[in-house]
Amino acid sequence: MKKIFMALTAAFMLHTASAKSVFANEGRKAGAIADPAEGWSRLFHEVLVDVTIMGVIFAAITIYYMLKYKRKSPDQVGSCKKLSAAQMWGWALIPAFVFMADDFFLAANTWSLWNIYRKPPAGSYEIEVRAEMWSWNFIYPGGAAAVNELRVPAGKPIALRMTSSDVVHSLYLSDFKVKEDCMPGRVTYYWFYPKVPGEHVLTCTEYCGAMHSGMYGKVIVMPQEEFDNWLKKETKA
Amino acid sequence: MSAHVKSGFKEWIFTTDHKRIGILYLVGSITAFCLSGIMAVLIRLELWSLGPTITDDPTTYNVWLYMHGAVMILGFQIPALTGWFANYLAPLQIGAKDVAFPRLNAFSLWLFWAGVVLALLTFVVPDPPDVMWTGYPPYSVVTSGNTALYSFTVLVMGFSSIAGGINLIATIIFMRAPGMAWGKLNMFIWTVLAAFTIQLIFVPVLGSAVTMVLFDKYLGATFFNPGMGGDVLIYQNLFWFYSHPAVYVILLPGIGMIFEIVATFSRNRIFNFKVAVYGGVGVLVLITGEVWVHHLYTSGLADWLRVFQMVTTLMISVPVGILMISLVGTLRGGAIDYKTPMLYGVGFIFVFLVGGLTGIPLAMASLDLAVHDTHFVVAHFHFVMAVSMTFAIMGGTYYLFPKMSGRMYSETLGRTGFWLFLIGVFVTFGTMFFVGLDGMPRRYYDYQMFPQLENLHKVQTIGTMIIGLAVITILISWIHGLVAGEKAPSNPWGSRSLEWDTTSPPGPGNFGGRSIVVPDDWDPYCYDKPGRTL
Amino acid sequence: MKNLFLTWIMAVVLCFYSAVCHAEYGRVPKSEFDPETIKIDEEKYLGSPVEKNYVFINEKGREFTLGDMLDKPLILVLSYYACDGVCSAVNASLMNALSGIGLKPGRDYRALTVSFDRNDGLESLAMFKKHLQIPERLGAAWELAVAKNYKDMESLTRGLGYNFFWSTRDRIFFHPNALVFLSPGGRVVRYLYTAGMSNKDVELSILDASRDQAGKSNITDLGSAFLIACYSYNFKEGKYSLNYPLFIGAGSLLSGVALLGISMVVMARQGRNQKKNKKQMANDK
Repeated sequence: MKKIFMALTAAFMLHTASAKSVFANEGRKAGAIADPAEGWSRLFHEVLVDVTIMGVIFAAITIYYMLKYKRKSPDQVGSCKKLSAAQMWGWALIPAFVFMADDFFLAANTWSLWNIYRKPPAGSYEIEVRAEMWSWNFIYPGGAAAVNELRVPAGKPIALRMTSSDVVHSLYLSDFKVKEDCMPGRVTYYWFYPKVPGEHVLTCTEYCGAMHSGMYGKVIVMPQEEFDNWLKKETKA
Repeated sequence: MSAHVKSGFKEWIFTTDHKRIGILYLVGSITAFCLSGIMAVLIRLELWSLGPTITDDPTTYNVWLYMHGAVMILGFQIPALTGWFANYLAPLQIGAKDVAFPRLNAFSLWLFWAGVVLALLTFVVPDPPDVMWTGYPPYSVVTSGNTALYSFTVLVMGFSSIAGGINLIATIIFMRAPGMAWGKLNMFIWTVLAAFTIQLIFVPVLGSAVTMVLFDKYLGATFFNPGMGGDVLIYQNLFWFYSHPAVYVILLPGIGMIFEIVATFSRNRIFNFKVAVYGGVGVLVLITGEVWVHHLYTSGLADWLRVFQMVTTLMISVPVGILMISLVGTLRGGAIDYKTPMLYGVGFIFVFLVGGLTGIPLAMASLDLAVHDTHFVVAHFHFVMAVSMTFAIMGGTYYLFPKMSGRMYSETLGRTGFWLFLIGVFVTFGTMFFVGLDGMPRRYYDYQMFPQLENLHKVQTIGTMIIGLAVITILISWIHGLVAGEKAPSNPWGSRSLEWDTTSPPGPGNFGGRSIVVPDDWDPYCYDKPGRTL
Repeated sequence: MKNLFLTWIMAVVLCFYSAVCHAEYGRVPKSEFDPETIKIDEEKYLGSPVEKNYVFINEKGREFTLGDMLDKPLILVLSYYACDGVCSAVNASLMNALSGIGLKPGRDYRALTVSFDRNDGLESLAMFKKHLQIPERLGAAWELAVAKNYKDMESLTRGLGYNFFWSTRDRIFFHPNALVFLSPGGRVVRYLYTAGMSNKDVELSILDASRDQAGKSNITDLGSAFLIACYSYNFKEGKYSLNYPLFIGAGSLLSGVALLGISMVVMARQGRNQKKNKKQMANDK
């Protein structure tokens, strides 16, 4: 019993020690913009390692028991004794506390990343998104509009203000690790941070009918200058 | 009940015997399983290659998806676990002659069959429902598909389930044999009690939600029309307010069945039984109504609600973890015999482990923003709910096979089926995690935007074929067992639980006219003392 | 003589003129006003941000920016001060509504009336304010102002989708009689037309506006949270209506709980009766 307790405490200490690496995100340079996608990759990796360790330990114990306690003779019966009250409480409370500690640790990490996700930095470039069956309309400040092609300048946080004119859609930028539903009658928003020019996929992730899977497009990240020229041209037209 | 010994067609149709009703539930739910399994195969075949593969009409594909989701959940898992297992096993385990309201039981069975027929009408009506099993408005209101069929299927199945719930709860509370105190009940009984309590409380909410969709679509109501004062999000909240608890309605009896199997084949006491009941099953019931928002992390709900329910969602790990510790703890010091049911029992542990652990990043709201509604989620819930509970159903059916039919199934066929199933599942859904992480959204007819994923999709389709092969093997093993199986003894597994203390199959009144009186020191998992007949 | 002739001619011309005028009078259309032209395209403008650096001047000559007012939800009234008709009515009905609700001015919300008439100045503003007679309770949180730079006004109204035009014939502005609710983040949360507006609509709009886009709420008490959950905005009728699905859902949950509870009670009673009967039977034996 004592051994188990020690092991659990050690596991827990290790766990909290690893917490620092994730919270390090908080200590970034003042004024610098935190990229949610980077935060996502870091936290996801962290959780993946965490989960794998837990899974491997659990599976290893199970396999060990499975092999060790094979029935050897037809009359053999199990030898598990009823637990004493102290053991019973121990096996209830210690795992419960370990799981809860892990939960709160994960929740705290999620919370700090969530705040980054949900607070567009000041000075974000805001684009209006209007979803309809089955296309994406992007409307830029100044009136320029594009369909299914979201052109954005590199190196600038982009905020999207989204609504839908018919059913529920969801704009998913898989490379920027973010999505949110677009609904009629409500306005939703999120932001992302394209840093280098390039092309990325955007898709619809809320079932919206026959052409749900055809409702995809491109995020085209352009150098600022190129973007300005494009916008000027589009706005005039 | 007088006609029980006869087994003509009429006797089966008009039966009020809980064992026959249970078997009819089994037949119905396996039929539903095979049908929606065929849908799954069609879905995977369509995704075999880029572009249209076996159909060029996306709506047809969407109807397959609807059928697969709705029928697997409403027509297979819930009825198999709360209809077949609960009906067959619960009265036997508590030493009752039948359920409390046998005619109500027959009524809920035939409602269920009506639900299966309604679901089958999908193949017949001109504009079949294409609203997925979630039926979110406004799409379910504006679609040309037949949303009414969806609503009525849900309502009929829900009604059947409520009737069954009242019946089983009453049975467990009032029909226990003299001396069968609460402390002497089987794990399965506790999980059934918990599942039906959840079902009774939450089903009406789903009923009202789908009824409002019906009113919106066909009677011009504006419950979910935002232009007219309606609210789009409220449906999603109502739907998941039921449908998350529904996961536990499925999970609890399934895990209860797995506990029975593992205890029997390890010939061991369930590890930390009381804590598993109160801390595992009990806490799950308490927590079940406060976690639905994790289905709505990306829906634009108020941020505080999303974050609050993230904490409650992560808390699910406590009761589930306690249940898993008890399950693995039961193996410890056991005398394990790997018969087919036990293979499913331990297989369940690993499948559930993968599903549960991948649920952790999904429970974390900010990680979910990237993987929500992608194939990652599909893989997760197939592991944690769909496949693990199918393992429970298959394992449980093999476990009860001798009792139900009086014959033994073929161990070779059974084991072959299991291994095919296990391999198929890991090939299909294991690959699906990676496809999801690469950004493949769910419910996609085509994936033109992700041509690089074609090979992984092919692997999944092959995996599905292996699962299909497994299901065929399983069905063959059952039919073979029914037709050519050896005669089964009354207690082939050497279990100490009460349901094995009668003939196989049990006659009318279950215990051959004996009136069961349970002694003070009764324990269904007591293997360290010599067995006895009551 | 010549004079007499000229007088005659003038008289004839005058008569002709008046006759023409008389005839023309009836042909002038009663109103050239099409209400659709000044309707706000709510779908397009809801959620859009407003510039915060517009400078306004109140009747005392104090300068402030729109951003200064945006520490709380802001009710923005676009009006003009030479107006003797609808504008003061819009302001008056807002005044009545605000007097009739429990939210505290200054703590829970602010209000701002600004003129879109380029001819308005501090004088007409002072007159208008005097005429309006805002009670003291509201006065501290309600500014009436004119734009320091009229260009700001043009871009503000454009940014809100607020169209208006001067009717030379009627000598009034045609404009939407709508209140604009801005969130503390400076986004448009609601347009509320004053026709048929109730106190409840104003209160709910303020509560809606207090929920900033980032989900931060200034009004955190449970009562308000409950109130806002119970209503949803009806775009067609322009007012809040009860969120029926919520009540139906809650009702069905209660019916589920009741179903379980009642069956427990009934079953318990039956169980007790059965036991009693059994005991009696045993006694009879």
